[in-house]
Amino acid sequence: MAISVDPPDVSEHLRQKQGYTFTFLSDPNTEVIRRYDLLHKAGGPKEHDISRPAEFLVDRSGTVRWENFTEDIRVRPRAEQMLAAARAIQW
Amino acid sequence: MPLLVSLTRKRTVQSPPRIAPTLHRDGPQLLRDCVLLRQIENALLKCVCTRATLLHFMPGPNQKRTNSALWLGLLITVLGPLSNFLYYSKIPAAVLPWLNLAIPAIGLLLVLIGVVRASRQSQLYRGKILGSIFTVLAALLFAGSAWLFIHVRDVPRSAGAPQTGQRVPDFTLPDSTNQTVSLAQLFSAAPGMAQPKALLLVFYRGYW
Repeated sequence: MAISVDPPDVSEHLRQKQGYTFTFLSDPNTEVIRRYDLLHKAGGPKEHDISRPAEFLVDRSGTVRWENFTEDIRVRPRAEQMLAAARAIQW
Repeated sequence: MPLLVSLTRKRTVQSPPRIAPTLHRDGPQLLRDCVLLRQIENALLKCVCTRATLLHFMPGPNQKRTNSALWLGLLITVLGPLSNFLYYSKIPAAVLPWLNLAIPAIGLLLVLIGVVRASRQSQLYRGKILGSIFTVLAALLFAGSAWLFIHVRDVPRSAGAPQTGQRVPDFTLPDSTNQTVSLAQLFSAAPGMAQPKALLLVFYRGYW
């Protein structure tokens, strides 16, 4: 599932346009983003606060099994890379 | 009488037979020197001639060579910003930021080589005016790439973010249909599906 500061209607538009089937959550007040220490102050357009890119693979107990924090917003893990990380873990 | 004696002695000293053998003895050496001098002279003449020929047949303003370094340099510099599209390719993304920076840097360097060529060998190469225009263009493109490189890497450290082995904080947020969803809920089985073993949380920048 994906989280950003985008309001639900914007996320819904993106979801339908791209044909994504997973859940999109909206955090416009950056509450959860702050709790995860992922706030990128004034990182968005017009100095808006946004989330920095980050990926967490979490198991049923809520424990992080794999995570990724990019140093360059252009460099993101590809779907194959994340699937490979998931397959490499003993669940 | 003493004068006569001295005169006779002098004459004996300056007698020609003494000089002749000396000349004869140094003859081969002198000849060698002459040959060497002639060789040097020839070599110098050849040098001067080549230079004269070169100057004589020097290309006119319209016959100068194209300053290929300038054109190639600008082309490569333009490829710099275009190389950002490589993020959609299969090339490992981690090397791309450095490639995005190196390409315009190489391009700018080539343009500068072209400028040096045009000013130092101005009789041979074109591009004195073009060189200054290309330098400005290439420098701007490189500066843009350098600015982008710094800007896109200006990401917070996130030292307090959950790490492997740590528990993530639970939360409740509205989904794209405005329905409130909690993290725990996402772990529950969807109708007709098995309960998921894991969940991938993707935080993204938004503003789509």
